[in-house]
Amino acid sequence: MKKQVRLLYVAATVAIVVAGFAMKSTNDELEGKLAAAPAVDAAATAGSTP
Amino acid sequence: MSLEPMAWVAALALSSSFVVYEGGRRADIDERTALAPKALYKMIGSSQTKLQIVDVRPDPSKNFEDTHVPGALPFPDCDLGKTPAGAKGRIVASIPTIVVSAEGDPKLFQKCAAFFTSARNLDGGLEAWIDANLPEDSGEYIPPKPSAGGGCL
Repeated sequence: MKKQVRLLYVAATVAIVVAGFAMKSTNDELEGKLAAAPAVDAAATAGSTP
Repeated sequence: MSLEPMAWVAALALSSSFVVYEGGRRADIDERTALAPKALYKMIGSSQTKLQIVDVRPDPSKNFEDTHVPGALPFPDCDLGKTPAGAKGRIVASIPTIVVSAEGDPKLFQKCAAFFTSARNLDGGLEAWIDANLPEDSGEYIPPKPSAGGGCL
């Protein structure tokens, strides 16, 4: 296989993997926020109960 | 025959499936996340985004006619039986939908989300939309004339 073609494959694979991990990181962050939101609501409700 | 090209194609397919999986996860998260009024305003302004807005507040002759998000369809309590005749045929379950309640009621949103393929709740409902000083419309729902094209935004 030509060196340039191999380089192209490597670059494409690395770019896709990097994009995937960036999406995963954002998704994990958003899911963390979503998971924390009910806990915050519950704490606020408990705090407001006389 | 060298196996290297096939190995690279497999690597590309594997990494692409990872991206597709994360994209699907993001779509799922979006559905569970309420949409801020200003974000909806931006979406309305973007002609590339096809969406419908449903106003699910009860009693459309009072609430909807008084004020609503521009382009919204009255769909009180997400019940077609209570929906005005003109709007009934215009509500399409397969179009991405924004649900507008009075204050962003999550229980009402859950009921409505079951009706649509893809739905998002407007965070804070119409009250938050008004508080953000975004444009409002008033009057009863009048379906567009057939010659005017589609009823979506």
